[in-house]
Amino acid sequence: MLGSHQYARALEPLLLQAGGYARSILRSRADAEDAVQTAALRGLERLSSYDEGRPFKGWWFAILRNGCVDSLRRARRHPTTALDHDVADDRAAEPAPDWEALDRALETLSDSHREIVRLRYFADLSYAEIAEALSIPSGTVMSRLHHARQALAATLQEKPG
Amino acid sequence: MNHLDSAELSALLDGELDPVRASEVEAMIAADPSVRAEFQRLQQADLHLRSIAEAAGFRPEVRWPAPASRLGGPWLILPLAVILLAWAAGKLAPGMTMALAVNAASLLLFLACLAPLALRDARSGAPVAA
Repeated sequence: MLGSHQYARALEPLLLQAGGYARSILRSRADAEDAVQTAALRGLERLSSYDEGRPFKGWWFAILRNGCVDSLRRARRHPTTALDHDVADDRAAEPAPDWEALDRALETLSDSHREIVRLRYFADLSYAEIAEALSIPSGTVMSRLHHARQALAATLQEKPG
Repeated sequence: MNHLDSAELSALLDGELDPVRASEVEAMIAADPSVRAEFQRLQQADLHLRSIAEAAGFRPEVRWPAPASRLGGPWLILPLAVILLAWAAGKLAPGMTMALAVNAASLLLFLACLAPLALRDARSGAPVAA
């Protein structure tokens, strides 16, 4: 079984992608920070359920993804103005990501295709890791990601720039 | 050369094809203008998503729970008090029997208190101190 020290070490290189991935769902840097913190502790609690024969990154990002989805559901039940925009980007030197461009790019896709795009680009997961995170076959990951790229390519051709 | 599944163009972009198949697909891209055009469209979509994702990336700090003290804090207060009492009894009482008995009892109690700590550490491994 993975020890708590090993867990902390394994998580360390994933934090940059974890921040971006959580932010792509929650659209708020502060909420993304909270989600990553919660997922880190939740993973520590659930270490006994981790099978070392399977991709750690996929296992952990599934925890983060579920946390983000729960957080989003809570926010929708109790809406606040702060969640409408990435308002927590209070570090003036850092521009907020172009969420509108992302939404435009993904508007024609289903939720399941969007999820795969987020896991591939924001979390930087491989096909095997995405398959682990979503409990679907790797071949499905490949075909959905391809379909998402084709749809985006068509959108980009229609609306260049 | 095998038939090309267009999803393999995406897999090539993602570095998910094995080296032999990647070479075959690259050869098909070079040989067939329509395949090349499709690959370039996918590359454009890939770059677009990559640029958005890079702007979103940031590194949050994770605050780990404080590691549990190896000495167990409150657990040590009682046996230490008993040892102190045994020492004081030895000093004050002229008969050594009483002092030895108290010392033995304190040692037993001390070990009994340490045992759960040792077992807990053995079960959970070392605490996180990232």
